[in-house]
Amino acid sequence: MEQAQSLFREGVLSHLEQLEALSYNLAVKQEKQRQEWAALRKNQELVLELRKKRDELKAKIERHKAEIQAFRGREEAGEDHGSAAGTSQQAMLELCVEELKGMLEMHWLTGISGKRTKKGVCVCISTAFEGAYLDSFHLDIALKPSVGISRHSVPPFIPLEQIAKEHLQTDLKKFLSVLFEHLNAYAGRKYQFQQLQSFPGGFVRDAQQGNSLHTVLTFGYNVRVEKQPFCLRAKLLYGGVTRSLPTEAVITCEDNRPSVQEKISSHSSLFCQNPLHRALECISSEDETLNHSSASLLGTHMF
Amino acid sequence: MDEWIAEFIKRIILKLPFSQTMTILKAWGFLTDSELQTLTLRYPKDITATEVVRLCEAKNATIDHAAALDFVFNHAFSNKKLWTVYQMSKTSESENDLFDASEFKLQFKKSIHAVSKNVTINFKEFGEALWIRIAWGTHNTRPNQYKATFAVYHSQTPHVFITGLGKACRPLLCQALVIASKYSQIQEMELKSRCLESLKDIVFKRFNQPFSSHHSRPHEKALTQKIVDPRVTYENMREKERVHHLTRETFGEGPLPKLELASYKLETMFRAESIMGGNLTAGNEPFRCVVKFSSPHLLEAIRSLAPAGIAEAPISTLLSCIPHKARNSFKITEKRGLHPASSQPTNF
Amino acid sequence: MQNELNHPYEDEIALLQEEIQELTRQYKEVQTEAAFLSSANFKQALQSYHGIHIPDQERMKDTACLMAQIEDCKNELQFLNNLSGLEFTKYLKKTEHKSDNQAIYKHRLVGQCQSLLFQLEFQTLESKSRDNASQSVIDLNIIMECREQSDLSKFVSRVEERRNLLLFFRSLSSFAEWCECRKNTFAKFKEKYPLAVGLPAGASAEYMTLRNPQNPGCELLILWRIHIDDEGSVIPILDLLPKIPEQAVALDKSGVVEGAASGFRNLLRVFGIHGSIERLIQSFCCLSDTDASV
Repeated sequence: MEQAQSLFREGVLSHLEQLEALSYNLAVKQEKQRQEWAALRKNQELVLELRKKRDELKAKIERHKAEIQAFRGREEAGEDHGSAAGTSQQAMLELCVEELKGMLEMHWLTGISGKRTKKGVCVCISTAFEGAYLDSFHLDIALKPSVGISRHSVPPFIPLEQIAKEHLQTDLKKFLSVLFEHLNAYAGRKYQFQQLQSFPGGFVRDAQQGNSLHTVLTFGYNVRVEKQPFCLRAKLLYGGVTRSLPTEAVITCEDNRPSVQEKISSHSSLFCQNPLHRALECISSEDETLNHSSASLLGTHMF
Repeated sequence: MDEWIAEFIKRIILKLPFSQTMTILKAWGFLTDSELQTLTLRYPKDITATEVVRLCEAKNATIDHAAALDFVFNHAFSNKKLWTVYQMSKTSESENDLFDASEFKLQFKKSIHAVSKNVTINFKEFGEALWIRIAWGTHNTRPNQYKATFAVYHSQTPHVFITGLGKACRPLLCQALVIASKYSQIQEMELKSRCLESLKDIVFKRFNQPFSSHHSRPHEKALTQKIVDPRVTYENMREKERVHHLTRETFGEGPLPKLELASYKLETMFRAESIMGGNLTAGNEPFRCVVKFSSPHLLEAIRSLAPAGIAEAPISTLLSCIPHKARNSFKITEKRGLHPASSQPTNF
Repeated sequence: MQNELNHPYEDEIALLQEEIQELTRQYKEVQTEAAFLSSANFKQALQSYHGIHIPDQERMKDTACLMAQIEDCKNELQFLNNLSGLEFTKYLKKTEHKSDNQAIYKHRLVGQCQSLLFQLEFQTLESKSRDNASQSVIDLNIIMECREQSDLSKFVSRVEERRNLLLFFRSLSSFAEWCECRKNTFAKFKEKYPLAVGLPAGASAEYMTLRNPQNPGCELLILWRIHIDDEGSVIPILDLLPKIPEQAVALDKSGVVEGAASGFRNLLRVFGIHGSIERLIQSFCCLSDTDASV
């Protein structure tokens, strides 16, 4: 009897326990499900909202594009056109800020730009060879109480101290433009040397710059004269530190025959008048199309 | 081939780490590829070294070849030496000077040989850098090839990087450098490091300096740390951002030059009204104190001081000015500012 | 199960957000372009701002903040203008093409340099590789009024051909500065010696005439050209051209007239532009008292 009793008790209790656990689990599951449904619902709503926003943006863009098209049409017709529709005062001001910021950023492309600092100005001098922008250099210039350079990233072989002594105290603009000329010419010479190194070894070899300022450059290159290969050695001297074209090109060849010497003199002026890589491209293409008179390759009309 | 040359080559090979032996031998360029193919690298290094010496003997290597190997070795392992920077100056700025390396070498050799014939001088160009190796001897001893001085010069710059220079040879080398590079004066700078490239970055102004501009290409990265509870961490975040901003403003974001040491010598008079004070200042002797900071990468360590919470931001300019002032040894005395003891020309 | 159901939405949300970001950028650009093209430009917007009362407090604050930003930018631009000599009046940047490692932008810029107005249309290519970023100009169109200055127009077409935008800006700036210098010099001499100096084509022209009030038949022409060479260097070139009646030339036995030009060049080398012209006026025009007293 006792046994049965205990069994019964156990049975009831454990049954109850089981039931309790079941209901708890169910509740948890339901809650989780509810949460998930809620999240799903929320996501669904978000998606709808985002789609709406996207479509609105698209419509707005289309509208503006049509407007721009219309302006263009009128511009071509030379008419005076009205104001941009649907642009609020606030938006106008925002656009104005954007444009001004764009102009500030765009100054970088002009070679001399800067940003005012607490003590003076941080100047950025950018350099370029033709369309390719190269290194930029910076100078932190204090303007108060006295003018002076506090920090800079100008290489040591640029005579910064000398230029500063001449112009910095009297004319900041002049100082920057003189410094710019030095840096831009140096960057341009360095760029041409780098271009030279990318020529195939069969055509140009032993390219070597003679100093840090890249004012002396030597290399050897191969040409064909009267269907015979010759190796010429060139030494380019850049006499003007603010120039990126050589002032003198000395080309030598062991062979003394007149046809080679003629070639040498034509190349020499080619090197002095054109960027190095262009001159070499021209020489190599001239080699390929043999019957080209060397005279027509000179001058500026070719570029 | 002289026996001492063989011995010299052998010792360099023995100094090489095993894995780099072939690279160095190839860079040396004395032995041809086919000769190097016959060479089998094996332990102990003695065997390899002996074999290399055998090949060299067959080709009758001279002191110039051995010097070339020494160049390659010291160029590859330049961080095994302590480099000092010297700065040259001239009284008048000359016009455009088309530096000619061969003339430089000639002048340099001439001015050293004018004083002492018993010196071996060698040159080798590594890119834009001209390396000079000088082994010194006296009138009765042969040049000591094992204690050669190396000087590294970049044309048209006023800086020379020198290692292994004894006091006795200093005037001679300095004079030769000044004459060959057409300067009028030379002076040792208070800047030393094991990392030659970093010294160059510092004096050539090539290291990353933070400059403000409107055209800011490197975007300022916002701290990515997420705010768990905005109420709790807001103040903290703001402070952290301030510290990060200040650190970035002083040091920039790029890698910094490598220096191992910075030392500050402080000299000050003790001033006190008390009897003790009177006692201490007897004889008007100043107090001297030296503070040395050392780290495998000192500037990087200084940069991380404030973000790590060890020091207040911004960091003292005494520490942060090291790369800009191009010196890592300072003397601080009273009243007269940061570096009065130095007679070094102020160079911006 | 449910979790998986969520995924498609989450993906779509991420995609949509990305798309919206891109569209917002595009929207901003077309907005800017529309504003750029419309005559209702920013100046008008600014003017009307001062006259309009906006009741909304919050909006007031925003607008005031924007105005402050505009003021800041303008000051900064003025400062840069002084440094570089260039002044921009209108600017538009538009994305033409964008991918992970390169982008092409189209720029339209209107500006001036002293009295020279220019309008540019150019494209830049920005490319990023793992360790460096590069920028280059891939197309350049310059619209400028430079019919009278043949040197300048030649230079402009050369720059366009080689897409050398940077050189254009730098050389233009120094060219304009020389023009300004010439104008000021001419004007100053005219003021100082009103009887001797003539500016038949105005102070901005390339030449100035000198004559002796007591001998109106003889005239000297100072021709001052501003040359821009192949590399963009700006060089002033001064010449002296005598305009002397034939009878007078016949009398000139020692070749003074012929030697005038080379003599002037020597003078320039010694005394500079200003000093040479000054000396020339004093010696040639044999100044009467009334003129010299100025």
